[in-house]
Amino acid sequence: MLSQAVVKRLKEIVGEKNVVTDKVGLLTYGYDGTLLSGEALGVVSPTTTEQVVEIVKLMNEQDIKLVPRGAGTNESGGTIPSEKSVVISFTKMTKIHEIDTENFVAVVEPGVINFDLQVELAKKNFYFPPDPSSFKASTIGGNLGECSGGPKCFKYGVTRDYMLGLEVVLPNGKVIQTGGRNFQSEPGYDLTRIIVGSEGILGLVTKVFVRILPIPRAKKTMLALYDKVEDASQTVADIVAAGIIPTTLELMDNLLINTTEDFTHAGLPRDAGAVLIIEVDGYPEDMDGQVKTIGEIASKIAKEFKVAQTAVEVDQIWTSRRSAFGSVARVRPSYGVNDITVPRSNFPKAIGGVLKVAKDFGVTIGVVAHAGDGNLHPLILFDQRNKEETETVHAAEQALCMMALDLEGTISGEHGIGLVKKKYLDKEFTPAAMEAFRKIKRSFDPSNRFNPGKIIDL
Amino acid sequence: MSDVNISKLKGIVGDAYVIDSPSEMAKYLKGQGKPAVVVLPASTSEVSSIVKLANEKNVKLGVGGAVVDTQGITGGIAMVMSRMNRILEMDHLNLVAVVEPGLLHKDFILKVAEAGLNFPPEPYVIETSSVGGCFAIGDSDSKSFEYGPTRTFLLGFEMVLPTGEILEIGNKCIKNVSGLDFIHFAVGSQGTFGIFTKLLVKLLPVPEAKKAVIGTFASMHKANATFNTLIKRNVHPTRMNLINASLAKIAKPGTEGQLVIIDLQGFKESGKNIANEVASVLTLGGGSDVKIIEEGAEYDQVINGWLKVRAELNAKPSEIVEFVVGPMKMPQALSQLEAQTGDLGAYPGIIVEGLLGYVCLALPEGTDKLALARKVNKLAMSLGGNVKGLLGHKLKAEVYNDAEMWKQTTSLLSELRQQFDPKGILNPGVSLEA
Amino acid sequence: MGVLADVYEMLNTCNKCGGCHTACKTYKLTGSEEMSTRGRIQLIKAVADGKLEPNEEYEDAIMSCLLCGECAVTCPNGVHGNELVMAARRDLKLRKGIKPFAKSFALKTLASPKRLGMGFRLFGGMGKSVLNKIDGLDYFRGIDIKNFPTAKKPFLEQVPEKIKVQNPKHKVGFYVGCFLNHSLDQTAHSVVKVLTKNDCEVIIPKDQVCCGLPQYCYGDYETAKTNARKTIDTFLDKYSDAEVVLTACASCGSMLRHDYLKLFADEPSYLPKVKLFCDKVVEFSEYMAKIGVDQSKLHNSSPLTVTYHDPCHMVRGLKATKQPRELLQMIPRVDYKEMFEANRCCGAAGLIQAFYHEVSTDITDQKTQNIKDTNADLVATSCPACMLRLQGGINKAGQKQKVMHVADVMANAYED
Repeated sequence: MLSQAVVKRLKEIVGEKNVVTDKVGLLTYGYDGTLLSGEALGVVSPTTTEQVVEIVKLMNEQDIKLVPRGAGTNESGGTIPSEKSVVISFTKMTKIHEIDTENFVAVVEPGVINFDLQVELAKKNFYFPPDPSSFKASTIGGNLGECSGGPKCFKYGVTRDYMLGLEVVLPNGKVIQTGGRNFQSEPGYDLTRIIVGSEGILGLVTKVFVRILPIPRAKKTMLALYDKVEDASQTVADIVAAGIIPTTLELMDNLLINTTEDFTHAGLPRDAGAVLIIEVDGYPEDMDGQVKTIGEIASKIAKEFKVAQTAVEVDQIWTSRRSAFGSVARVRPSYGVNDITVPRSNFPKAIGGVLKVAKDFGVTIGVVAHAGDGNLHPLILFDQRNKEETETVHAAEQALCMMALDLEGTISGEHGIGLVKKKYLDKEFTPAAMEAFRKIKRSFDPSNRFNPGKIIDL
Repeated sequence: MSDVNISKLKGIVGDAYVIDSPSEMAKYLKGQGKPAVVVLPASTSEVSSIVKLANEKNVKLGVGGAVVDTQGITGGIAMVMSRMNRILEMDHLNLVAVVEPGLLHKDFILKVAEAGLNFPPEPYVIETSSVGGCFAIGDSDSKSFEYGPTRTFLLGFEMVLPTGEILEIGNKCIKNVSGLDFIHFAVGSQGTFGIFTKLLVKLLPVPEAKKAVIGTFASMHKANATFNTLIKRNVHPTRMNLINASLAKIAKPGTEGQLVIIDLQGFKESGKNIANEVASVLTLGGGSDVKIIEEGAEYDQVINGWLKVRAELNAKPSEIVEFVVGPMKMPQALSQLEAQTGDLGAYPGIIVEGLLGYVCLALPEGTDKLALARKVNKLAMSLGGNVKGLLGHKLKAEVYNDAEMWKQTTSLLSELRQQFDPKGILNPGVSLEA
Repeated sequence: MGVLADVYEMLNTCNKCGGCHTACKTYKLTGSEEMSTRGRIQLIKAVADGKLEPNEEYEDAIMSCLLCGECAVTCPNGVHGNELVMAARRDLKLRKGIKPFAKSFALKTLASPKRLGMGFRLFGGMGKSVLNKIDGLDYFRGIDIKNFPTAKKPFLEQVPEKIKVQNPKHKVGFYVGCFLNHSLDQTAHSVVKVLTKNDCEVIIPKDQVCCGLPQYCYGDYETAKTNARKTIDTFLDKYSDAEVVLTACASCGSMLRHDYLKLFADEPSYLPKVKLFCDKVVEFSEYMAKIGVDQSKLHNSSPLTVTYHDPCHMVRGLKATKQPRELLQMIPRVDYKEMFEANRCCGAAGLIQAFYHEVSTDITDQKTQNIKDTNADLVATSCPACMLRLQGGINKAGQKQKVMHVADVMANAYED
């Protein structure tokens, strides 16, 4: 419980309406996209950098920790108030300060929803490449915190590649700027990069300079259908070997084809073992050649290959893909998302590994993957009401992580570590690397005030 | 009197690779400092042992690929990485390579090309830059608009920390957000967090076609105006560079006037059309001798000309001022700059990277760099930019009259450095104070 | 607890992915999680699990839902947030009745034709005189009181029970609904005009009552049922010659066609009759599109840019989006422009505009801006509540667009 005096001070800082201390309010800020939950001492929603500074100073004075939060759609538990802490919600810092298409930069507040930025950019024929599946709900600040990926990473990279500069409130309440409006303005160390993906444990970002790009003049979306998942991964390898860099190589297995069909009715054949969504973009005159090459490569193995002819068809394909996570609830009510990533060459082995885990643990697993990146999201289906089953799922998740590490991969390709995968982190990193993380954390936040318990313990 | 234990060093790397005669040492060194010894390790464990040895006696240690900057290491050790120059792996399936840091950048690019692949970051100085140095400096270059800055191409590394401990991090996954992003944070840290001993580098397929369009212009302003035209027409070449008359002669002997180099890496079909479009924009914009270059050797010559100019400027960091503005703000920037410098064409050197909005000025002898940088920074800030890097940051804080922000930034940087290198032995010449 | 137990499977299926955030206007405009679909669902679940005792804040979260239904369309899991909120409201009602007083008063008023008529006249009259004098208040909680239309006398008292045509091809029963009866009687006349111009005989039962939707939405199923039964019996017993039961109010339409079935699910003996009735229900645009309109009879002398707002109950209730657009585009010299987020709630949402007026006003402002961006002269829609809300928002923003029912736009295109 926060004392009356602290609540009063908080209300003075951000206004009556932007402080939550009632049970109902606290309950709704205690969860995110995972199965975890916690209860904050309070929730405070600042609207300016100055307010953030004041909040940080007050919390320091009171020795209370802060958990930053955007839309709370993450899959890592990164925004769970796991220790006694106040949640600082950025959903009310939603200003788009500036969109400067001539200079390829936009300046936004962290609470701007990715989709809302895309809508504004689209009016000027620009876009912001990182678009995680949650992009219609998740905030730029949240994307930055988790270093989100999305389906276009194979060509365009992840969130970190689009962050030019930040305004950051440090744990001591001081404000710094990192980077600037371009690639070349980093002061000494690349502070922008270390803050991106740090899940708020190093600083609170209050302004973001993002790189924006013109919407490619042309785009082609293709679909290839396979009997087996392994066949699809062969196509992926062949496309890369042919020197083509598609924006997207998305894979869904039979289970997901069926669950998404239930929702979207996009017309995917329900008996297909896997579907691969392939997209290329660039200049119009280069499209035909690439589509032809890809078509030839895919057709060697695929049982069907087709090129989307209309915008509606493209839309349908993407609706299927984007709804993949949720749609599995039609089979079982709960699912655990995994985010393992392996070197592309080990992708077929990882698929095999997933099947083995499913068999060993007797769980149902659906696979959706950014195949070009070697990033798999095995979704383990279960019912969270069943404690025993839930335990089995956790064990299976651990097995998946270990499998990925055995294949020289990582436990997180784009979702982050948070609380969920923290316990496996020292399996991926050597003690020296773990210590390097701690050194960095200590430099920024020696008293461990910002998002304590996430990624690493001090 | 030095605390360097030569015999122990010899025990680690072998007699032949410990050099302490000043005349022999010279070719490995640059700058005014006087290290006691040059040592050339051949393996990670040798590097680690050397660093541990330095730690025992608190000896300063400077590291370089082929040449070591001696600032701050008088009486200390200069470590040259040139013996660690192997390509340990070239993995076509995953488009990655594992490289030792001492491999010369130019040699690496050749090997990568032989393998039918592409490593976009450009050497800082053609002859002496190493791959390790490339990531230690971690700059961007004129192709960064298309390919991303240097850090984009590092997936992992092995590093000997200032304590001698060996740290390995990263993997062949092109997407990896596990832990804190120390992988990319280390890029640009100039050897203050540790010494790279192995680099896991991301590669790309080679572009289907490469072309260049060149042209010469009577004035910088006219030349630069064509860049704005191209951006407005939604044409984004791989690079779009402008070299003033004084430097143009280095890039392409015999050039009269300001030289524009437009590099188009991509597909055959669009490449043809865009080259034509670019050529007409250059011609209409007042360019003469506008030429589309398709032939490989000639293309390489043009690009190498550019690299030579870049190397020339990078070789004298104290004699250049670099700044960035929004690419479309460049016309104002150049006009305002001219008010400070006089005729840009006649200036000792100016280059413009059009897509990045980057300008590098080579200063005439006797110029007060800091005074000019201050003026330039104000100019740049009014156009959405600033002087590059740490210096720019300091000047920005000055303009904001925000001494506290600058203090915070530098104290954070030093705290980080201190955490990794508590004794301050590694590359002490690198300043984080601007 | 029974009510929530019935929906527990669905509550448990919410995986908290937050995908519904984008669908939920009350969240988008407040940035408050408890005002989001996901937040509401998790709160309802906490109540169902016995972890939360319903309190005032809970009630606010539940009562502030627009019931626009967009979340149900967005959720890939098939979780229907609006249905869960309905269950929670029913649960609240069963626990302790609907509070606060104002809400229950409003609902009681709506349920009784007599009180409703008085209410409309009182509200409209008061707005024009009394409220207006307080602080020069033109907008009471975002509602444009000064221009709030009030029928001089109810539409049902203005027209005969049967309106005949020369060569009747169809016989249409007209369910007028409260708004057209008491407020927008001109629109009701437009409906009759368009129907008769298209050879439909119109039957307008005098003793029709509120469809029961407002009560149903706030968990008062008993009152809703009474009204529903009355409506069904009236049309099926007394006016069984009407081929269809036509309404020009999408909300009434959705209630009559879909929700009556749910309401009587526990009365198997009566259910067949309900089904019979529901099958007869048709919305104005649906019906006109179905019977076909003779385009050659439509006239329009000056160019007109028109946009269309999909009422929630039209797009997600009746799932009719094409028909009104087609009808509008049949009118000569109409330039049709689609607005951004045409199918999103206008902010009216029944009583939300009165009880959660801040968020409601923000929603309307956004809608008003989207309308402005189309440069339309006229906004057509299919729900009288939306009409009033939109016109209020437009007036407040100082914009010029006129808001009309599709029936009004069509009626204007017929010569008298």
